[in-house]
Amino acid sequence: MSSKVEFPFPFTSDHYEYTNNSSPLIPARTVTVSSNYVEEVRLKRKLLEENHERCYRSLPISLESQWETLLLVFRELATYEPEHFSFKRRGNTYVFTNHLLQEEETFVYRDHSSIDFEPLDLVGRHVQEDLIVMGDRHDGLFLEAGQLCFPSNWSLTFVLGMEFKTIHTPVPAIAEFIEKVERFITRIRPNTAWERKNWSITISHKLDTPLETYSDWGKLRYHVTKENAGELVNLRVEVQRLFRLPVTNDILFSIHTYLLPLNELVANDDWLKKFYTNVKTLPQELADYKGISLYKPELLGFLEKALKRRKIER
Amino acid sequence: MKKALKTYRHVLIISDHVHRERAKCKQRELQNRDRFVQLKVISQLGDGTVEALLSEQPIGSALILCGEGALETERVAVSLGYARNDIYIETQQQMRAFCSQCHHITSLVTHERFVCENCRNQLEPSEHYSSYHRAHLAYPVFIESDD
Repeated sequence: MSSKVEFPFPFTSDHYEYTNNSSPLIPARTVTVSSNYVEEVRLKRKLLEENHERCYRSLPISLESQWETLLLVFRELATYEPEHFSFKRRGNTYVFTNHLLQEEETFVYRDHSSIDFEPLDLVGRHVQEDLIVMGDRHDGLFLEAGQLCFPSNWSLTFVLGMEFKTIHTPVPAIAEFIEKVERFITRIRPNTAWERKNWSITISHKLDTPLETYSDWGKLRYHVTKENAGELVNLRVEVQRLFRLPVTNDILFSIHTYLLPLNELVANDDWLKKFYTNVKTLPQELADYKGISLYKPELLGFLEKALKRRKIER
Repeated sequence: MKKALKTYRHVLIISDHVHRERAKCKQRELQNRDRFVQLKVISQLGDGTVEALLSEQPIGSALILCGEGALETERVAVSLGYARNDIYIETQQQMRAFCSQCHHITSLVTHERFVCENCRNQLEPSEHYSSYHRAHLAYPVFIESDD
């Protein structure tokens, strides 16, 4: 399957609207295996090896949820992708086999000495998703562990231990909205999953754009022109899933990131028109927050040219 | 013994202009916890202009004072019936800035651009505050001429 066919195009209307846009997932899955699996998992592992402190952080309080996540994700992979993964129990020992990578993980549940990494760090090395554990405490949701290799301009180290609402402080004009989202998350029932799509724009086909390397990739924003936008600019979509862990009652937040170069996007008339109208109607403060303001005229210019070429009315 | 600020339903913050950004962050942090927070910025604490404001606050309010002259304002507040345990003074405290590039925390006196002690990047502190690190996130200063 080509990556374009899999691409989760996020826009459903012809104008920008900030919404929760979550929908329940049946079956309640937390991860997806796409055609880029091997390439992306290898990239994740490389990033983890080179920048472990940037890509993996945890608080001791998260360990139980990490173990629960490990079992959940390994079981899910084996259940829904049996041609690629298997998961078996032999006495106290579990064996997970990744046929795509020809690897085997053997461990004893909750025995830390049986694994080389923390449980979340281990299971995250077998999925394309970034995995975050949010502790559901009586006074809010707190980010207590995360394996984050493909962030869009944020720092896992900075937000570790922070509460959900304060993590989102920089997002403009959404204080009330974020409270609603937090209430929504706290009401997610055990063993159920919800999914939403979140979009942004990345300059270059780069999945790993952490805040820590902003001074390297951020400067590319100044190089966008009407002529090179098709190649340089990518629509970035995060498929975000929230799953209530039934034993610890914490939340597993998974993020699967997809990139689509504009040259590929504009080949689809419906996508081209929706993307154009959404960028055009994006409020200024959100354009600033998403970093689009720097090259918005060039981006719109490129899209208008494509619309004209394909004889699509604006 | 002082209570945690988040336990107060009503909070009044009085700040001078120098500490205004810090006071705003505090206000936002408490508002995010559904607290009613009033912020009053004046030219200088301790100049005797806040008596009326202090008097009209509900009983059991917390008072946060940000800036030089806070002790004088605290005395005024106590004379008006405030308990010392309900008064929080945030003065002469340095701001901690978390370098988004190398994670080093630098103590600052003002909210202005600075150079990270560790990675030497020029940074600008933001209002994004982590109560876990007790520090503000600082972003690299980026100029268009950077190649």
